[in-house]
Amino acid sequence: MTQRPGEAQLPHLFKPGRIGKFATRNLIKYGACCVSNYNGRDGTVTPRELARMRVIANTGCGIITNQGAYPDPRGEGKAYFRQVAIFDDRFLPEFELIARYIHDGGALAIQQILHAGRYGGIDLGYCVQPSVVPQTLPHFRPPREMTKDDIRLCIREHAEAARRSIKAGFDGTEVTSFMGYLLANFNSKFTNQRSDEYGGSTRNRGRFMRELIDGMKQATPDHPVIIRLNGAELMDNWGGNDEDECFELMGQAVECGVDMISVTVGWQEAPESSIGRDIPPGHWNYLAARAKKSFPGTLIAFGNRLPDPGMANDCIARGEFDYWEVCRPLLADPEMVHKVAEGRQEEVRRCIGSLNCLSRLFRDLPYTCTMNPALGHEVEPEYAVTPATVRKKVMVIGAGPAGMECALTAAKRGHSVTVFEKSDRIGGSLLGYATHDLARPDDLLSVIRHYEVMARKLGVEVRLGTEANAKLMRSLLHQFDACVVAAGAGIDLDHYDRLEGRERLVDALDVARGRAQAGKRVVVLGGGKVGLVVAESLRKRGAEVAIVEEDKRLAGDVMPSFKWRHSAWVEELEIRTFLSARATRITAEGVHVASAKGETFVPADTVIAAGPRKSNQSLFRDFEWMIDELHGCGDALMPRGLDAAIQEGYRLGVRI
Amino acid sequence: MLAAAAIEDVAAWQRLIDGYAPLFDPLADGAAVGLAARFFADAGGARRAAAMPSTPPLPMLVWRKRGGRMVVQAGAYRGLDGLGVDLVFLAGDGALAAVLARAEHPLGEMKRQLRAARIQFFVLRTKRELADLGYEDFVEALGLPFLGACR
Ligand SMILES: Cc1cc2nc3c(=O)[nH]c(=O)nc-3n(C[C@H](O)[C@H](O)[C@H](O)COP(=O)(O)OP(=O)(O)OC[C@H]3O[C@@H](n4cnc5c(N)ncnc54)[C@H](O)[C@@H]3O)c2cc1C
Ligand SMILES: Cc1cc2nc3c(=O)[nH]c(=O)nc-3n(C[C@H](O)[C@H](O)[C@H](O)COP(=O)(O)O)c2cc1C
Ligand code: SF4
Repeated sequence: MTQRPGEAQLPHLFKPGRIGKFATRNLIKYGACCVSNYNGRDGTVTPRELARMRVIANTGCGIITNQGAYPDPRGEGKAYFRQVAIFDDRFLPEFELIARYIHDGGALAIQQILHAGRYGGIDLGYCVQPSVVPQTLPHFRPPREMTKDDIRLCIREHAEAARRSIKAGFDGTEVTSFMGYLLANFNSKFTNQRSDEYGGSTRNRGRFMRELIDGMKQATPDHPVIIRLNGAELMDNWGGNDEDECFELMGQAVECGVDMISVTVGWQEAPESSIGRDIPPGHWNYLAARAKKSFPGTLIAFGNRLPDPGMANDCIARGEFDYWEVCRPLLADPEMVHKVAEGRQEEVRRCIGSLNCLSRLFRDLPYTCTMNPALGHEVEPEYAVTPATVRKKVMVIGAGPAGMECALTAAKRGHSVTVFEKSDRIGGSLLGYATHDLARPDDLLSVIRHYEVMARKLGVEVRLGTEANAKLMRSLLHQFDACVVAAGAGIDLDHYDRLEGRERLVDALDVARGRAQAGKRVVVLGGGKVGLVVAESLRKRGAEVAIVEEDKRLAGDVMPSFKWRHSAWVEELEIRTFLSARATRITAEGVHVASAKGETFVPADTVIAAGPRKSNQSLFRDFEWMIDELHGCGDALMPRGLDAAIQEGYRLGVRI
Repeated sequence: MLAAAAIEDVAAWQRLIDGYAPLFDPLADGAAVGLAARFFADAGGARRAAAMPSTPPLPMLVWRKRGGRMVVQAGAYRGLDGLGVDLVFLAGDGALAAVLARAEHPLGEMKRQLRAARIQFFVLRTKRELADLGYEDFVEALGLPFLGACR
């Protein structure tokens, strides 16, 4: 195949590679990132999964790892509600199909075996572990200690699962200890407190892993065995392994002749962030570099929170790892590798580290992606971007995420689309959110940049500084076939009707967009997502900040993966919080706050209204008799968040 | 201050949790939380779950919902087995004293100590049992994800 322009720019990433006897077309490995919850409760693969796998198979990676399947018929290894199983030959036909899809896509096929240990037993009342160490998160099941017979059986089941994978047509297998699964539980001194030969010293704790690798290698002698191991557990404060011990354990895996080590970071219950947006890209690269330096003769794959192909290319060039193991960036944009190879990198839709995908898995829901509304719906033609039967002239009111997503999707289908935006920029509320995001504004801003690039490429006209109203509509009568109201939501100032001094309130959205300035002593009324983001940002910039929230806890409308982050930030930044409280009076000096504990006066020069939001819906009424089709999406229907805005905008765009 | 000393100050803890009455409102009668010194739980590298020697009895603080109120009482720690509480906090030296010392929003300090693992937290019941007992608000108010963590 001739070299594509982008491949020459990233020559290391697109270099051919080799694992065991198998050649790979480039040095990109699709990490097992597809525990999806799309499958049968009994572990059978569904048509929904197969359709998704076709997309994954065509991502252009050199190696593709299929999602972790649990290896035991009891379901002790099963971590997710609809996880796939590989403990019996009856599962073979679908695995054969998946291996074939991957080969047809030109990649090497690896099957991952995932026994979740401490996080397993989702259908049982218990989980199995090396020792009985109670859970630190309510989500997981109470532990039972594995006997030596259990250990032997577990190793046999892994070996059987490996043999079955090869029989299905996979080229190799992988065992994961990602985020604290069984293998990690044996390796870690937090969860392994055994006094027999499987516990105690690092050597003893690594015995289970060594026997596991031996078992799998004996079962599949001609095929690579890959192992995912923590470079850092982030459980040190809980009595877990430190980094030196993690590398000692990697050394034991090398001794056993593993073909590749995939270096991962963190446990699910670690108090620290490992792959969220709050971790800068490249933060963990040093772990891969240490692994490569320590074990130069073993292939090292790495990618946790390394979303940038350019950075990955440079790491490979410097010899920091051998394969870029990429996961979420390919959920957000399955075309990423092709776009990069073709020199169309600016068209890549970036993963913004929202962790919506994983949050949903923990709620026993099928995973979806904030940035990729088609993910998980590949089996449904209704979600595909197909040429429109009737080409229409579409007007979209509002250039926020909902409006832009709808506009771009409709344009891809052949519609002629014009966006009317009253402000001077694309982005809507997301602009204010991104500017003040404590985690990493650049990820959120990348969404806006993507919209700008794609609007240009797809010929979507964006009329900035143009407010849509009845007058404008009259001037445009009969020029458009369809109108989409994506005008977002505002703070509901009526909520403060009975608040004395309400005229002193400043609107949080104005502060977020820089249309109003806050002073040095700020009280924010409302501890939901808007209030929190604004409060944290102002505090970070040096203001004294207090939050008054009517509910008994903060972050009620925040997505699960960011609740604890906000909670931690509020503490770290020393933001005063008043819960189950409400403001009763605002004066030039500050705010009187009432709660069950009595009344408190909080001095303030700025009081920001960030309470309930209200959809901007007046245009639905105004336009009802002025256009053929009238639709709505995003916060204009009901105030929610970025995820709903993008999903709805897209769903409308593929339908109009 | 040693964790043990902070544990014995029942009145101070009662004042503290009375300030959070709405947080404990959803808890069912009988729901109970234990606080013990981590030193005891970790002593001699003993297994956390193993029963501790029963002499001398080690101090523990129990917050138990009774008659609609969270009541603080002294208890005895004998290892994690059979503690009779739903959640247990094991605190390192100084951690509980820091919580008591904070005048405004002391649970915020507890949250901070939990994140730094100076206070460890173990769950002794299933998710369903905890949800039925009404723990979701309390657990999340401490910055602990009730469901998966998504780090
Ligand atoms: C400070 C802040 C923090 C936030 N934090 C989070 C968070 O943590 N998580 C999360 O998911 N979401 C968060 N959000 C909310 C998120 O940004 C919105 O839910 C999302 O942007 C909604 O998208 P939308 O397109 O529906 O509406 P918007 O983004 O509000 O876009 C609406 C657009 O319509 C334009 N418009 C309105 N009326 C007219 C008109 N008559 N004519 C022309 N143009 C018009 C507006 O100028 C705006 O550009 C936050 C928002 C803010 C401000
Ligand atoms: C939805 C989802 C499913 C995942 N499933 C698995 C899995 O089955 N096995 C595994 O070892 N890791 C799994 N992971 C972890 C990823 O392989 C990867 O290590 C992690 O997402 C960090 O890499 P990234 O920053 O490229 O996303 C999953 C991650 C996500 C987001
Ligand atoms: S849901 Fe969020 S974190 Fe997950 S892949 Fe999509 S953008 Fe990335």
